[in-house]
Amino acid sequence: MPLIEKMNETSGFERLIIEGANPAIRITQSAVWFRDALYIGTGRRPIKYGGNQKNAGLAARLRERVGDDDGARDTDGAQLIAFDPEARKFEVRYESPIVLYKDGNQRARDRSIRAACVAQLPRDDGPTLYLGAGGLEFNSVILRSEDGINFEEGKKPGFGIDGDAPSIRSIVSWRDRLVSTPIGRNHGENGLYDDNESAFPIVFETDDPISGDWRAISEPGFGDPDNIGVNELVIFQDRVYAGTTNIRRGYQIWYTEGEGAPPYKWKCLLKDGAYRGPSNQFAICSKVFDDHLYMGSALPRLGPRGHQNYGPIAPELIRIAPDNSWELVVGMHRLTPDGYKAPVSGCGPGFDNPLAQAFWRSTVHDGELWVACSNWTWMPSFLRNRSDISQEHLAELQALVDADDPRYFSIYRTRDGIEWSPVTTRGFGLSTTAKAGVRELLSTPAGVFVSMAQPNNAGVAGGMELFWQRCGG
Amino acid sequence: MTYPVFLLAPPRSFTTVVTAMLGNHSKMFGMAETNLFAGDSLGDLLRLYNRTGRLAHGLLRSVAELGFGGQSEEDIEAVWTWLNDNQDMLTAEIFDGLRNWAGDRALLDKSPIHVTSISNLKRIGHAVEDARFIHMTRHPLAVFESAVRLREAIRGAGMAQAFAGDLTPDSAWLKPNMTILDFLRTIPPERQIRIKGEDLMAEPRLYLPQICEWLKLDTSKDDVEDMLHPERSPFAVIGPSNARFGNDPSFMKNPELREFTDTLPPVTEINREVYGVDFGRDILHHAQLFGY
Repeated sequence: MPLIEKMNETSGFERLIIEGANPAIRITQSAVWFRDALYIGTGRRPIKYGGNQKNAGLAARLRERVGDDDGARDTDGAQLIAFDPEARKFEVRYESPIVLYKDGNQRARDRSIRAACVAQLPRDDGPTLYLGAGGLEFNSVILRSEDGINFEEGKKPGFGIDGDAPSIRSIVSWRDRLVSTPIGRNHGENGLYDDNESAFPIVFETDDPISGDWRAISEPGFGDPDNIGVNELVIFQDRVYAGTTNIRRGYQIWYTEGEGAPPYKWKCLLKDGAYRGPSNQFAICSKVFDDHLYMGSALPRLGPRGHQNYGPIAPELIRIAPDNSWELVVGMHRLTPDGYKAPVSGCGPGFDNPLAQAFWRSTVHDGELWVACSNWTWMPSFLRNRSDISQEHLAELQALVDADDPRYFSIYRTRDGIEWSPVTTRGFGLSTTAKAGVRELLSTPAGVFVSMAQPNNAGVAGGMELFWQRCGG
Repeated sequence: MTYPVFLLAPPRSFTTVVTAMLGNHSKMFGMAETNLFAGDSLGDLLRLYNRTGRLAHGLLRSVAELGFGGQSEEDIEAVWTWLNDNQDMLTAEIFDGLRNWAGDRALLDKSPIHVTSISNLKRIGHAVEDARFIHMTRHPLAVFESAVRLREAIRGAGMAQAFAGDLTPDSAWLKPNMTILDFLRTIPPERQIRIKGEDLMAEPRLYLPQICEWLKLDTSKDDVEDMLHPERSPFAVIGPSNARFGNDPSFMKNPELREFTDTLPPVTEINREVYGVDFGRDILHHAQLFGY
């Protein structure tokens, strides 16, 4: 029986609308607990002029899709919004500066705050908030705050790279330093489809991000030109693990002990999308739980190069033990160089939901691992221009999409990685607008927070939803 | 408990040698190309055989081997008589009979004709409700070039009507793979597995036991060793004069396992200038998803 039919859904969630979000915000891209508050990094939809995309057709479609009446302005940028659960109060703590673009117009600099981390580095007096802010025309900027109110910016945007390095997806704290990596291109050929790759798929470290002195600790793409991005960084057993996006053969997972001088020696733990191939193109959703490193997958939308029109292809979840052996947790059984792998959960890709697109975020809450999904339904590209499948098959896919509710999102939980049950498969029954999926999921001393990505920005969709289950709920 | 296994792949995808290898496991029996589910009844098959006589040889040899323990001319003649006398029998019933004769060995079938039509595959699905399916893949260029060579060889042998239709990468690779995928979406995941043929051929010691593990077959060291000798299959040789074929003729001439090295580039690097062929969008994407 598919897991989703085993209804044991969790109640006790409350729906909030994030206050203070400007009309352009359409996605929550980072979440971190700092100084007794939840800090939410947001992202705005592409601004009206379509950015610097060289793909004029894509830029025009974006302008056409967004329209002129959503209330969003070019001066609306990414925001950092704090939620005080005691006071039940939202407060905007950071707004993007307005800067002069190359075309002579003044616009918001920051498109997204996509990475967040609390760390204590040598110059910090205590736990300190570090953020990665990405831009549409300019390179990424590191933000630092000791109080969550005042922010200083790091020197040398984009890791000091003399090139196109506009965003950061992952920052982790390791020993006495931060480790991070650039992502995205502002000046590539594929517009938004370049969001998930980098011209510099390199891992960097620094013990002082404000100085801008980042050191490269890996070679580009770990020596494989098909590793077009380092999507995920996570610390496990005091090692840095990196999950790549590999467009041709599927993701790779590399790790380093960090010995000697950088660039460190890295070893490839797993490749070829854990031997599922490019159906597991993207490593994502990493979390250390119960002495294992869990890693999810996704099939990103990559325009004509991508396979998103040949699905739907649902994600998988693996886990890595301290000795670097690995198991398939959720996914399709298969033969591999490491032996026959069958999912220990008994669940197929997507927890047997073919419309799951990615395992996007996970958290550890109350002794359980929670894993949250994004969904194909809001943009079922696999229904378009299908000359490869039968009409009967296409009709079945259409019926599958029609039967799904775009408000619904799914989260699953486990105590051991083997037995899973739904937290929700129906958006807690509370969600009111179309969802791309759960974009942030965080366990905090105040409870669990769940925030969203939406196909339309807040100005059109009536606000950005935030779901909260209080501690003890 | 053992389950029948159907190896599904476009023609020219290693299926003959893999069937011979797996079939040497003590708990399996790899059949010749029975083409059994090309019709609902024996009468349907006999009408098919009247058009292309060779298509009967695999069933004749398999029934003879399982039923009589041999493939002499007399054995084959007896099977022909029996088939003609039982034209109303359903092919599903024939399969059940073969299964009974195989005893505790799982039947393994790789008939190329099965993947030419979704109807044939659905027929298998209805008739053999506990069947397992192995979807075997091969690089589209290798499949296409092998099909071209085979067509030229057969036509050179005087069978000008063979492969009368267009032979293209789409017809040789895409269509059969899409037919297989169309069928397998109706089969529960635990009853199917996809295998990249090149991986299996390059490292049979690594992958054959894994297939057996999936099939829940206890596999001894002797089983592994036996599986590395496809030439030991009862169908690894030319048959008797009244049923010479029923398997890939080139395999029957050289059935021993040879070292295999995968040398073809990724499909994205295949182009007309260098390789004489371009692949359409659908082949490119599906082949990449298969690992090419």
